[in-house]
Amino acid sequence: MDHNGVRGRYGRSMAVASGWYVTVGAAVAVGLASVPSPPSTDCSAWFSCLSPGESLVLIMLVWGGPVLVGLLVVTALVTALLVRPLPSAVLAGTLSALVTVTICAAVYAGRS
Amino acid sequence: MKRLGLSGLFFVWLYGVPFLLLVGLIRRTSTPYAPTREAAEAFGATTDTLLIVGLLLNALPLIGLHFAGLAGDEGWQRHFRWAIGGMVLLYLLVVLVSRMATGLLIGHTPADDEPAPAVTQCIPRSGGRGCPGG
Repeated sequence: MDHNGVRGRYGRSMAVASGWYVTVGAAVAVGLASVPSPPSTDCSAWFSCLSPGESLVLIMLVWGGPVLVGLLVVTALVTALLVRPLPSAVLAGTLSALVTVTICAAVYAGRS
Repeated sequence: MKRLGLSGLFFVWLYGVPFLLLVGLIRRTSTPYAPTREAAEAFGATTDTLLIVGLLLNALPLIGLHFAGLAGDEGWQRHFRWAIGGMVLLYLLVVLVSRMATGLLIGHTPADDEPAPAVTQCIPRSGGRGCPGG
């Protein structure tokens, strides 16, 4: 059982990093959904009158899912670099999530 | 049991506090649709509760370090010592955000769409303008 070795720590660091993405995604979804918006009167355009649940599913399918997969791929690489020098899986996972988001934001900002 | 309690405390702090603060800050920076004054005040009160609970729970690493010390758990003591650094960082971030905010971070009531009460009656007042027809 390689629980405390680098391999065990790698898995737990990835879990901690995924936990951050889930937490931040859930917080943004809950925060935006809890803000009341004026009742829309014109529902003739497509996607103009979605319920919060429907818009959440739509955003997850079109935007959230692909972004999450991309983040996890980059995180897997960053964690592989960070897990050796850092003794704690929580620290390594948190830092790799931060580094991943910074890299992805920088790449996105540089492209557009 | 002891390990379960300590890890529960730790992960509630790690994920719960950022969750509450993020939800609170999103609500604080939004402009909600509030048809009445009461609705705006209730929205503001819920936002304040979220932020205050988040800020209070952010002190959990201190409690965790105390209990880990009592339990003599060296591993969790180390975790909570790191967590105190994170706690200080999070408090500093909140202070930074509140310095950027226009107005109060906690205790802010968003604007409401309640129309100003229309004047329907004219009450004659000494020294004031006279009422039409009287």
